[in-house]
Amino acid sequence: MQDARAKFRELTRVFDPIYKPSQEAERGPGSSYVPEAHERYRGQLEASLDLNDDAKLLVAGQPGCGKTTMLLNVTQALRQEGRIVAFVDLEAQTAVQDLGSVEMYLAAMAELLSEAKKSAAPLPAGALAMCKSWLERLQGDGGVDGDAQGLADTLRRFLSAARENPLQRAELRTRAQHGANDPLEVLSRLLEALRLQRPVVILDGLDKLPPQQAHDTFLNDKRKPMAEAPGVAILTIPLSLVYEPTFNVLSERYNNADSAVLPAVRLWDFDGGRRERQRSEAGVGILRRIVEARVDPIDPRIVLPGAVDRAIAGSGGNIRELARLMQSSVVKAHVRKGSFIEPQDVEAAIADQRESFRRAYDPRFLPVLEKVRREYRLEGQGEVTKQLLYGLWVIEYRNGIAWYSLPDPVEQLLQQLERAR
Amino acid sequence: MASERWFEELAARLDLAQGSASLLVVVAESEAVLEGARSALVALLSAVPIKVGDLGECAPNAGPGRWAELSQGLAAEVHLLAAAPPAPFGVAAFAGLVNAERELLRRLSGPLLLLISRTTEQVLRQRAPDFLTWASQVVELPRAEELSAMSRKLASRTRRAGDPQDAGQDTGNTGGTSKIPPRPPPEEPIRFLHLSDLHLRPQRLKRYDQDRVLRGLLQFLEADRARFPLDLVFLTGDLAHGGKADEYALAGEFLRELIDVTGVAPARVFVVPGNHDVDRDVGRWLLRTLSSDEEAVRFFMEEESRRFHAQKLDAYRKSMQALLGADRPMGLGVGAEAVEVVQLRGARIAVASFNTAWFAQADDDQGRLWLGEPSIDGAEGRIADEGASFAIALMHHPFDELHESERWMVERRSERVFDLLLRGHLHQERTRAIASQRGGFVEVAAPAAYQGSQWGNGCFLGEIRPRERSVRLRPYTYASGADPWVLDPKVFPDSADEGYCHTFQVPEKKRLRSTVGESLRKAAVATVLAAPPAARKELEAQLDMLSPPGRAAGDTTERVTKEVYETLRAATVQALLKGQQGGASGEIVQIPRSDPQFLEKSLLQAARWARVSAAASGLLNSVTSHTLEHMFCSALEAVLEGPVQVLSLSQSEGPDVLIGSDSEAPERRAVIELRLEVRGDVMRAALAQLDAQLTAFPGVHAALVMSEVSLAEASAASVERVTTPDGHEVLLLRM
Repeated sequence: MQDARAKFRELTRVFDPIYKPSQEAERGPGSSYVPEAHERYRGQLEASLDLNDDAKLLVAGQPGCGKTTMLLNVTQALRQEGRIVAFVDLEAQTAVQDLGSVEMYLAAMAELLSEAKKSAAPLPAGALAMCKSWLERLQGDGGVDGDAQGLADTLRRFLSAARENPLQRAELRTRAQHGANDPLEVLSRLLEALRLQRPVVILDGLDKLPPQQAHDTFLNDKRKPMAEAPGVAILTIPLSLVYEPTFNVLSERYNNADSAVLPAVRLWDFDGGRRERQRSEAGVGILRRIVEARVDPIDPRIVLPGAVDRAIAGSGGNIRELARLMQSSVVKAHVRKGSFIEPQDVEAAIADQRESFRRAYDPRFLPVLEKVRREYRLEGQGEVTKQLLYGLWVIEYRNGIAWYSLPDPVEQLLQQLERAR
Repeated sequence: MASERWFEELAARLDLAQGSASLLVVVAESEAVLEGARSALVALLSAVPIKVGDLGECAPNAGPGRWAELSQGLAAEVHLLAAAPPAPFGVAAFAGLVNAERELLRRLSGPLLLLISRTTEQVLRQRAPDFLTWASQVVELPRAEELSAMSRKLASRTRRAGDPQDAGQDTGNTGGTSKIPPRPPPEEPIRFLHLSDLHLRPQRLKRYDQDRVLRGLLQFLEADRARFPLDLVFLTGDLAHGGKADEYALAGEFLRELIDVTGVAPARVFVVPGNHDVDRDVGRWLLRTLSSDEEAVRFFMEEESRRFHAQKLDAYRKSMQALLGADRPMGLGVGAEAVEVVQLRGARIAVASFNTAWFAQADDDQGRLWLGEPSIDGAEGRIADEGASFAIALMHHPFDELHESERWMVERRSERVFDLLLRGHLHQERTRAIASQRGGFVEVAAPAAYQGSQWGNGCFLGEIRPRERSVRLRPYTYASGADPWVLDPKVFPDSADEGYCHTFQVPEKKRLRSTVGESLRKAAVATVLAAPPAARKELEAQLDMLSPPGRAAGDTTERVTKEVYETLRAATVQALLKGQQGGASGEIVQIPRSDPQFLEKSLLQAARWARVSAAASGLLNSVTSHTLEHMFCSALEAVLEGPVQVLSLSQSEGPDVLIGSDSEAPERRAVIELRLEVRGDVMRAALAQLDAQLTAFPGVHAALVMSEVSLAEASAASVERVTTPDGHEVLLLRM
């Protein structure tokens, strides 16, 4: 039996915003993943994946709502069906803050090649030869190892050199564009060759593009990323893009552009007609299971039930925020020299969170926040809206329509501000 | 105490998070305190004890990926890293990088405390919102005093609890009390009087009242002279009420008596005009304001353009020149001509007298006034060239009254140049110390010295300690009692223990000499001109200068160039501050040309600084070989004892850089050729050209400098010796 301190330490680790359940299990999400969290959205996503082998899908959402976690889970499920899924972690492979389409396609190609090799599905010899000769031209001198894994490794070497050095990056782009064929074309032919395995390319990390570059890539450029390639592609995009005035042009190229936003877990049910909300038992249940999935392996009784409920209300349904509140509560309990996480600890953590919001407060927020509280609506496409959504001042929910609400710490801050007025 | 609770919680959190990746952001008040805060945190945490791995200051292009690598190399329980990316490019690039690489935080070997300033936090909130949601907490650092009080307490607790040996080691680490060097003798201050807004005019009804207040002031100064002997007197405008000759007769009379009772020489009395010193009758038909930067450059650069506006100040000029000296600037000079330097007790004090009343005419002056950016630029170069250790600016109006197109820039420049800024105009005392990443100043607004005895009348006495970098202010006010002027306790009500006086600290600064500034300006122009459209767009995006889609983009070249210049300049100053060995006086230590190896030393030093500055600017992606060459020249001008003449860059037939003057011995002189490419034939041609120059200047040192950006990233600068076709030995610097 562990002592309380060891348990607290373990809790601090699993509730850190950085912690990723899938770190535990090498492939696919770990045991603490709660699939119901994204049930509805995931259902829609899987339906499109089932029905349309050329679906192009977007995933956006507030920070910490579970985009990557859900996609990893989808990947695992698709692989079990026997499909080839290239899950491309762009962050790990490219310099995302200066991402060019060349690197994006090369990374996808590398992942596809090594997945094809792993799945033991025969990659047609023609396709392999095509990739090989293209790569040789890109490299300038011969000597590319013959099998798919060898090609993938060569590509990754290219990418990691380009990731470290802006000069090499520029050179890679010039060579790919002038020396050899368009990398998108090579990727397309590769996907075409794998058609029988119903390939899926998941580009995770595009949401890390700086807003301006994301805007350029998706809205200014005529060639939208992956839109012209065969097979399924799922792309994570920054939330800021959804709030751009011209976002709707993307619906011509991506199948789910109008419902790309992955909402928070619905802590409330919303009646659109009466414009009222009431606590959703289902949503609270899901969030409770998310906490339990991380707590139970350590000690199911260490967090008092009242504390979990307070934390859930404080999180507004954002999973990462929920984890952060739980972690802060553990620290509070530790400082208090307690052996359980009690509601008072969560209350203190929420108060800290409120103070942190106060520091970032800008008077321009006030009318918008008041309107959200009154009407559950967030209007406009301005800077303030984006800041509020990114900073988790306002949580976005969806049931049919999108609606918004304030998490507890913001609600508290708002009340204090109004009292002071 | 709140800060102790704060620390207890921080330590508990770090203790619990040991061994797992976690990010904690600690926000400090300003960049100036980051360094101190970092060492204070190391000391505090070590006392807990938590083993801290101090990762130092974050390199400009290192993000979470690099942090993780560093953390893996250290056997520590907690890692501490301070990040102070320079604004605006550096911090925008930093935000982009951390936002993109946030996933790599998972590779940290343990919890990381990231120490940033509030300014950086604000930019991160806007540009890297996701990154911040990955932090387990964003906490505010207690103030420096509270931190040091805490570490003292903790240290004494450790000493009492632990064995004596341990405790001794502890104080050794934290720079404890036992090793403080002997205190230098207290610095004799330079004392000044700051008066403003006298509004003198012949008036029958209030003559008695005016006399009572101002006569009282003179009596007070005379009585106080033994206790507080003045060195300098400053009057910041509105000496008269309508800019008329009969008013200046009164002002002249008052000033003569002031000089008499204080014993300050007329050459050490400084005045600038205010809006009531202009003759509005003369100004009625003149231009009310300027509308653009270009117009301002013309107005302030060409004396002829100011001719008519100068006539509004005729009465002021005549009277003050008669009294204080015909060649004094008194706010009528612009740029370098506005600056005077006085030598006092071993310190060189620069005083820049600015005229903010060129366009003053009526009650609606607000927003129409210009001080002129060229004016500040010229003053800055002069102050640096003169080697002044303390710089004072005089002006009548507050920054808010300046035209909006220069207001912000003038204030920013002032933060870089001046230590003390004296003004008047609002008849309201106001004092504040400004600290920014550019430096900062103490701003003192004097109340009106006379506005009728029923209103408050006041002035400031001050003490400047250039070595300590402090300014102490003593506020005085008119009281109609037996002592006509008394100390005013209402100005600094909280400083009872300091006798209702207040001491402000002045931030350290490095001013760049005019020639260095010129080279950096060229470097900025070269960078912007050479930037391909994509890079240019990136620069504009970093500056938030992109025009909204659909609207035609105006020509932003000038603004971008200006910003790039400011950034390069800030980076250069930073590099100079860091790279400097010794030189506690605040002066950049220069390599003397009497040193037989002066050329080799200065080439290496300049190459290093040029590269450090280019890296620190956050502009690495846009820096070209050309920029590097200009930065090299500016660094050379800073590190080497002059004169250094940059004649041309790269292409010309003649020499590119000449060091030393004609009259000097050849071993104190040098000629340098600059080249951009490193190809063999370029080098041969350059060496042949050096041969020609060595024939023209026999016996001087010679060097060839090759710059290339790709090389600059790859390796350290090195100097080798090569022989020219004619057999001369020449230094070759590859940069």
